[in-house]
Amino acid sequence: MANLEAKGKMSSWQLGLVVAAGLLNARAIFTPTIVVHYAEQFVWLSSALGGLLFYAAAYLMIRLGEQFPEETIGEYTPRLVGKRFGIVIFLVFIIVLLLDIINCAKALTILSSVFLFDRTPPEFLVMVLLLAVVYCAMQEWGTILRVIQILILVLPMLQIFYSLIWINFEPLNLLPLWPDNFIGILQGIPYHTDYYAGYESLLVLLPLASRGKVSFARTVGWGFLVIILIYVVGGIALVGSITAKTITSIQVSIIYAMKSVELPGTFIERLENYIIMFFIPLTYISMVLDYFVVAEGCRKYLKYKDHRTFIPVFLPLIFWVSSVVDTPARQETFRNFSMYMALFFSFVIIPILLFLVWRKKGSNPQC
Amino acid sequence: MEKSLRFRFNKLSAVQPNTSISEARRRLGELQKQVQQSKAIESAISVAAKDLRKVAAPAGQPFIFTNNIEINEQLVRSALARCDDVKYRPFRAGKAKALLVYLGGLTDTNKLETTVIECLTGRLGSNQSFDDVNKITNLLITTANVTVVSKPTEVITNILKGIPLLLIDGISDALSIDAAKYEKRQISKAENEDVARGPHDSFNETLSDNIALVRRRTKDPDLKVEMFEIGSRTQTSVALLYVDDIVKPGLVDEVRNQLLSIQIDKVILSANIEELLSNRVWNPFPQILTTERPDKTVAGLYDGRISIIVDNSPTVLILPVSLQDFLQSVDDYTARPAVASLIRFTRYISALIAIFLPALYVSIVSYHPGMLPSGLAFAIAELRAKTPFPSLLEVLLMEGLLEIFQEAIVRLPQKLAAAAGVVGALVIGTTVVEAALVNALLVVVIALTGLASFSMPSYTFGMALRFFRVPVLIAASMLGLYGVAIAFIVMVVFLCSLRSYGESYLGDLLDITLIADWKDGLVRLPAKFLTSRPKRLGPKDRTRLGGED
Repeated sequence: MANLEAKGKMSSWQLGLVVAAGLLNARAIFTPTIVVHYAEQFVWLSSALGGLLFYAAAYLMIRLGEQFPEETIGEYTPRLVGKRFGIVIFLVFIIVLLLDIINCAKALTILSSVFLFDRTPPEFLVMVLLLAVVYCAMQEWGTILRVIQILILVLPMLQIFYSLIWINFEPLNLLPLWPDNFIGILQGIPYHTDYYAGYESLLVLLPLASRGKVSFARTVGWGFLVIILIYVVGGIALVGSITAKTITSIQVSIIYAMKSVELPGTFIERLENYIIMFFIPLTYISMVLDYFVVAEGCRKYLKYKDHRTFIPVFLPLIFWVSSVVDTPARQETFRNFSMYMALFFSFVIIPILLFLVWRKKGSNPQC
Repeated sequence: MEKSLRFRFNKLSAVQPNTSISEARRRLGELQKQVQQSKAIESAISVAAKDLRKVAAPAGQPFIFTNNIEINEQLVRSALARCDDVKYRPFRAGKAKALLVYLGGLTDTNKLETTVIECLTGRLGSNQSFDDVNKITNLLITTANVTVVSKPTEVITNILKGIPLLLIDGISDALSIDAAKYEKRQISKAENEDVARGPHDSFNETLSDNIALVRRRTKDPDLKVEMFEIGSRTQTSVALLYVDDIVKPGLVDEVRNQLLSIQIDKVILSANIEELLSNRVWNPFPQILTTERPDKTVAGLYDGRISIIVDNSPTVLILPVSLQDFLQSVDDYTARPAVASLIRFTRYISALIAIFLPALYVSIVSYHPGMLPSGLAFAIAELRAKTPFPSLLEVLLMEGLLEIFQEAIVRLPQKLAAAAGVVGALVIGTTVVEAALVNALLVVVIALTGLASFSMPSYTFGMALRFFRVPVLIAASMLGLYGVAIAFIVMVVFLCSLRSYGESYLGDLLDITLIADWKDGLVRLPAKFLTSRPKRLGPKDRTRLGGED
């Protein structure tokens, strides 16, 4: 049956929405503990600066992508740096996204197994989640876009529930207002990879977006701004309600803060369960997006007709790595490795590629 | 002595020569040869008969009409051999012999008598003859519609449709006379789509009546009706209706091609066509809207949709559709917009309840009782302590009972259904709890779930919701709320992946690019705001209110 309205493209604003949706996931629940360790009560400032920095990386990616419309990173990189380096850069890109998927899956299943269940093995939870992700990633882009647009609606609900921690807000917890440890604030910035990872998907998503009147940089910027605001306001609320000192001493401070909220006279109890429930669709969106981008990138790189071919390829690998990273020590090592890979890709490889493009364009404007 | 005995036992053929094995083999061989010869003769005869028949007949036709009425009668009789319901009425039309062939029970014999037989016998002298078929059709026969048919296949089909055939000696053409008449159900109230306010007439099983019901509601010359015959044997009439200057370009061609490509021997129900037009055959959600209401059909046509009416079927197919169409009722447009919006929103909530409520019960009771207020959690624990089964088994038991109950109500005659309702209510509502098989709260949950699925305006859509209830329940029993969330997400993905002729099955639901259609989706705005047709259907003319037309 002919599909009379096959929708394989998205608008500029939809690109902004998709990128923003990909940024927010269950990894964010574990981040405040580390960031507060460096930035103390100025976690909100660190988040704002981190957001700007990562947006700068996203901006560079948009500029790079705009030099090669209708092409993904796997297609134009070999022309810039040669075939061998091209493969290496493409592999780094794929690994960064796969690491993001694994981190998302781990974060969500750890939360679920600790707070929702008593004895359910996390591997089982990962497997179920991955199968659901694979089912969605198997669909065409129009369907995935629609799924994202629907599931992102849990974000306002999450914010409404999360805003309940303002009930316990104490302004004194935020003092002093003026930071005296700028180094600490800056040291906390790299750890915001957990907050903002996922924008790398731009390098494959750009050809799927229609160039309208509004630039991609602006729409993605708006997406980043919304997410930065969520993290900044969330950071202020968190520190204000349970103090920076408490945050550093517990692994999942957001859950702790939610547990301490009581709403007497209402039907609602165990608010942390609701928060975890809302994070399931958000994390799912991030994982689907990354998974689709990996498959689509491989499709374009290897010039296949259908991205579905590559979906099952990565499934055993993701599941195996998720199962192996089971102890807290391994998890921390794995998270650090993911962070350095992502930072290396965003702040070393991408600027080099962009520099090479500009140099080539400078020497040959027809290029 | 011993030797002769052995001889007697072992060599019977020596005494009776025709009982030997060789003799038997020889005779068997002869018999086989004769059988083969007879088969060869039979096939030769059939080939010869076929060749003989082909002599004068054009390609694709079993025979050709001649000037001789006796030969023509013989040919028609052979084509309709062993059809005892076909009647042959010979009479004289002036000097010439004439013959009426019609199907008993499907023909208005009184009309034939007055408009054909009386005219041809009474107006012609006994010696008068004619050789011009136009004279008969124009001057003699007084029936409204007479057509000259030369193709025998068409003639045979017409006879079987109830359209009588008139043969006259000396004329090689046949006349098909419109005198079909058959017993049919009168136009009555809609059985499954009753409304509080609004028209009550509904489609019946007669195609012409159904088309007339649509035509009566609009005098638009752009409303087109295309007729098809589908089913190689049943030759069922199927009508394709659309408004030419509204429907999305390409959609009619697509549907027409699909209808023409259907290769099937019989079409008994409109559901046969519905299933053949659906692209995901295992999908439990209906991909085509069915209705027995003419007003709903006309409304659909003016949204830019296509309707398919199948003869002998009181349900009309409407396409393309989206999920919202199954959650809307005619009553939404007769009630005040604020009330209609509230009711519509309630239906969406009901659809979610119909799928997820038992699963939420199982997951909260089994995995997350802490999410309940302490008082309620203790009350439930107390209730559950009296029952021996785990929550999943309890729910499955109640679900099973509910399904059996529903099936019984649907299948039973109306008078008995009421009695079954009382028995069911007693069994499910009271006895099961008293027997400590399930707890009382679960009865409330299942009753609410059942009511929620009954509140769906579309029966087939309600069935689809019922279908998904059990998988979601199993997910909840294995993974609690985590499983419910994953099941919900998978359902969203599944619904997003569905298409109805290029249109997303979720329609404009939460699609920011179709924000113009939100006016008549989850809620219904007042009529003065509904100025345009749904964008998602891609109509040629989007203006509904305030335009020149």
